[in-house]
Amino acid sequence: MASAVPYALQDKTLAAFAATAISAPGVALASLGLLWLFGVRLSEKLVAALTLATYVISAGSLAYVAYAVYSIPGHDAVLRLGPWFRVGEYEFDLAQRLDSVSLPLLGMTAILTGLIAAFSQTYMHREPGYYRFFLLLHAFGFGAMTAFSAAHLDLLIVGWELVGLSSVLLIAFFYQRRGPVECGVRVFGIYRTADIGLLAGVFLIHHWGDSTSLLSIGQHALTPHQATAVGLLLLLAAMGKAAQAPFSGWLPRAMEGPTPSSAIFYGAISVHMGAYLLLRVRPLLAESYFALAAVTFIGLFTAVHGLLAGRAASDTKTSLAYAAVSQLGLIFAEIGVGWTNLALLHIVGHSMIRTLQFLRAPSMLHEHHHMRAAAGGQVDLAGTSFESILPLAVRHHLYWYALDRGHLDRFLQAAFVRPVVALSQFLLALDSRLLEPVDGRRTRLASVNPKAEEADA
Amino acid sequence: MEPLFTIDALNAFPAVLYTLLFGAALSMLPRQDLRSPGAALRYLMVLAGTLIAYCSTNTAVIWAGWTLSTIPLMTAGQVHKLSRATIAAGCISLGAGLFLLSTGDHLEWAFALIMFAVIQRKGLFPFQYWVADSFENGDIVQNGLMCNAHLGVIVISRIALPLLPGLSHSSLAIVSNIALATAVISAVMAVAEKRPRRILAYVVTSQASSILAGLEGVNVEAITGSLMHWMVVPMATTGLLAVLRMLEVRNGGSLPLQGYLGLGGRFPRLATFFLISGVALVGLPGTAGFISEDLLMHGALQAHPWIGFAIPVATALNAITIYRLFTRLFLGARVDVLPTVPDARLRERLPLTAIVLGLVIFGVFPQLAVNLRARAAEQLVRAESRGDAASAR
Repeated sequence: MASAVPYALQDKTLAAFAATAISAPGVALASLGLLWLFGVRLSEKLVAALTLATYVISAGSLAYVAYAVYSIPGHDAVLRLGPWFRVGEYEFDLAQRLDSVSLPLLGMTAILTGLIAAFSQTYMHREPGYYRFFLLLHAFGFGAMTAFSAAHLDLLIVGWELVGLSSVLLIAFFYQRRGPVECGVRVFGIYRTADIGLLAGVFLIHHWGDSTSLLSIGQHALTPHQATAVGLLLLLAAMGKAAQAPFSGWLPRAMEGPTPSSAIFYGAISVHMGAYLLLRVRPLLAESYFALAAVTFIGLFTAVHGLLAGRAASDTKTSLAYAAVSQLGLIFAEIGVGWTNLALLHIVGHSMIRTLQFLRAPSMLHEHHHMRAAAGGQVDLAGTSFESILPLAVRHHLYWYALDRGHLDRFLQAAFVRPVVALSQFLLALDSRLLEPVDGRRTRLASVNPKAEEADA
Repeated sequence: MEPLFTIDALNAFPAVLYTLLFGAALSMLPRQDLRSPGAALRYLMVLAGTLIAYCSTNTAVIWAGWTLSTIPLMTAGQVHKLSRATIAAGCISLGAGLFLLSTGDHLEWAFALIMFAVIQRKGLFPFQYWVADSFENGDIVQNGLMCNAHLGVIVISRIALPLLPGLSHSSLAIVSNIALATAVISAVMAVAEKRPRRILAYVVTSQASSILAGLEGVNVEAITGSLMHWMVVPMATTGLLAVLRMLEVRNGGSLPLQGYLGLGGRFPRLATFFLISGVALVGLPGTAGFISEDLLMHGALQAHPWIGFAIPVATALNAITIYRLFTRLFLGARVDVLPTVPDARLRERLPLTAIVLGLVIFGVFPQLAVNLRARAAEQLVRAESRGDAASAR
């Protein structure tokens, strides 16, 4: 997919354009954030115009960069903007990898985020959190651009985490309702748990391979066991971000946010970051058959799981979420078997179509209600149910599986949440007992209701 | 004769920062917290004791500063006796260690006593209970500042490394491992905790304990990360604790977390300050916390490969806990309690803005902060190298 040695871009104009493309959303975020902090109120129109201008500048700059990069043999270039910080022998390089993997995704991010901003100008009109929505959209845009252009894994973490945080804050956008807030906490829990894989994987690569550069990934002298360990940790991170089984349950919950953010985060950009990570570290995964088999298996299992769970979903956004889960599973499987070009094409195509579907969902429902009313309350269902060829008993089992979404949430609760909460309660009880006998005063025990604790966690 | 006080690369910036944080805290604190006659005096004792310990090279003066800064907590009647006894034991232990050191005999015992005092004061496992107790039952901002003085770093840098070079390196490895274990244990403890003050106590203990883990690192990256974390944790903690205290006062004294309090609708700026300080404390990107943890982990991985597991797990749990606390305090249906109370008054907004901007600016332009700490780190690396050479002899 890319040449072995990327071309080092020296052109200062090109560097300026690349830096502008990536940092434009960051500058917009900082400006709007500071204005709000100091009490300056901007009109809705001005906020939308600034946002549109930001993504037009970003997309325009990227078009110039893409033209320059595609004129280079191998279409693979690295742009070093200098060290972000440096101490001793350690240097955190602000290096961007601009190649046939990152450029399509960067372009897609700039264009789709701009389109979402234009759509949201009307959709979010007079919404109390209008300003907050655009702030978080810029945080997301900046995070995604940073992650997709990162030439090393440390920089990718920066963008990855920003996307995660802005995504969670947008899920809880309607913060006065309990549902979105609880879903946000749940999604954040899964993101952070999966991020343990990313952080630990990156630090192990650094420890064993002495570099986290994506330019030399797969060229480290890792033993097969080390490659397997790192590969599985990075797979964990990708699974969390891409809602792969057993973490699929968060994606329908994330639909509690405003429709435009659902479209951009969970239809297009955010959910594909996991697949992007695997595409980037594919040479490392190739050093371990076990890791590749795990990627393929997880992908195929999730594809089937998403298909089944989506069939039993009772609302449009959940159906779309599981359709996205299923497609992401196929993308994982494609990466696992080595069809990386197909996987990239699949990511771009899937992002576009899913964004359109999410944005159309509310008006489609509206039209459906009109059609239903016009037809006198009776609309014939279209399509064919292929599961009807299965025996009834099998269908019942599948329906039971699909209705509870594969019991995966319960599995996560039993396997991870309950043990951590139980350990926490045990340690808290030790602390409390330690403080009790000295002066006979009972300290207020933290945990009173284990079920409530569990629900919280 | 050697001067009693000195200003160098190690203490200059922490001393200035600490003083500014005190000023910020005194400006932000609800007036009712400073109304009692001794309140300001107690704050000044903590500040004076900390600055004395920071700026002195004399072991007896460092001990005096250490002890002075703990007097307000030791005399706080509402804090549990065991917690106060633990702090007192730390002072005695440090004093005994320094006395043995001055006699030149039983250096192993001297070192063990000094390290014991450091572990106690830092609230490392199993002494984390006093931090939670002092946060819950005492003056949370004052005790937060006392905990975040991180005098253990000063004791290790000024006393253990130069005066006991042979013992320091191997023994610091033990302290580092205890610190890493504490990072995970405290993070786990915060998961099921229900009371906001105690939640913050466990999260702060967890995040702060990795400061010691980096000091033992064999390279300048780890030590710079550690010293930078020494700046980030007090800044972020002061922001969090001050906002929590403001909310308590605005909400009539307590913050029950059984449901969602929905205070964000009423106090959006306080919510923003809380969120950014929390994000910085748990080391998310865009803040100085990310830089310090990145340096710490990259540098210390060589000496402690399991830091690559302990810190990701601890920060993941702490991030979930902080976000969950944020949702409980600020999100949910709007509650219009005390409708006349403003979001953040000017005297509150300015110091909080300064803290948050500091955390973000050092996170976006990290070389500024790194330069402030790298020289001190180089000095410590040289001191550790001398220690290794002495051990080899």
